[in-house]
Amino acid sequence: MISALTQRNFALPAVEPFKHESYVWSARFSPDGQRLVTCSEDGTVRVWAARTGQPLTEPLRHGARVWSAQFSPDGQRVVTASDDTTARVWDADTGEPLTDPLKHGASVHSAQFSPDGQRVATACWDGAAQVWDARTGQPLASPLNMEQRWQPWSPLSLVQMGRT
Amino acid sequence: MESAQFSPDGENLITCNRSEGTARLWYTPTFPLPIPRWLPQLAEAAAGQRLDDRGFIEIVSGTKFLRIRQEVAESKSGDRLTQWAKWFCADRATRTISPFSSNALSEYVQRRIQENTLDSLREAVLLSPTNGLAFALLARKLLPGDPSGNPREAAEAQWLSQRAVQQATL
Repeated sequence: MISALTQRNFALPAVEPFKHESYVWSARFSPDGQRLVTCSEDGTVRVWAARTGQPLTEPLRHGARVWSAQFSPDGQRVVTASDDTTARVWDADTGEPLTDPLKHGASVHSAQFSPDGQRVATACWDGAAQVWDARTGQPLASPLNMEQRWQPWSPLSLVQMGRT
Repeated sequence: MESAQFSPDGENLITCNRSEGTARLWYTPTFPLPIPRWLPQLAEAAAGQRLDDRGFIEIVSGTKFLRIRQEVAESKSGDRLTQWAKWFCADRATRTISPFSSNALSEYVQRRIQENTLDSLREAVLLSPTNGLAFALLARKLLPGDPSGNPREAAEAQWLSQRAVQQATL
């Protein structure tokens, strides 16, 4: 006899599931643990209250699948990376974009703030990584190009963003 | 699973799973050591048995459990483990989905039943093991068109439907 109770390990849910229209690719906490940011195949990014499970802003909209979304170290901004070939910096409280889109030549797979929150690093499917001014949205140097055949799922792991 | 991250205080884990359009927040508590003496007593009473000094199994009476449950319910201690124990001993019909959640278990299970997916029904059955409807719907989900095609799922569906009938007749 097979018991449903032995099928898998089970943790207790803390709140209702955070719902998107399609696959959720990433979910990250804010630095203070009070909020969550999720991003999805459905082209949207959502900011949620972790304790209640309620959305805190309207959906942040990209033109295509969103691979990654992360808070800034001070928790006030969110940076996202999308198949629409852009990364974007948003106000986490209002859901409004703070700069023009950070444009790449292909899908952007990952985007992350520097520890001081002043810069953003992005990683693109075409093998390019780029550092940007987080406030103006302007590129700060020429792109760092990896070999094409290198799997660019997370080139950011090679880009060490120290305080300078 | 696509990604998982602990909250900064370690109390929760956020996960997202590609096959579902959801991210999930789980309750992953840690408690300070050493544990209080009443905790193993509660565990023994809830299980209804304990190991004696010689390592033999000894039956723990149901009245012992009722007494410990009463003590937990009346405890004024506000520490986290006591809060957890109050939740553990509380009525499933009226308690929350986890000790520090504000979501009612009954409504949560209803929504998982309404979603009517394999994953949501499995969760409903685990959280509410006396819910006949959840067992019946999960059994129907698992029933393969051809029982010889997947005997494991067919057997599970049979077991689940028996549980559903048991719950319906209670």
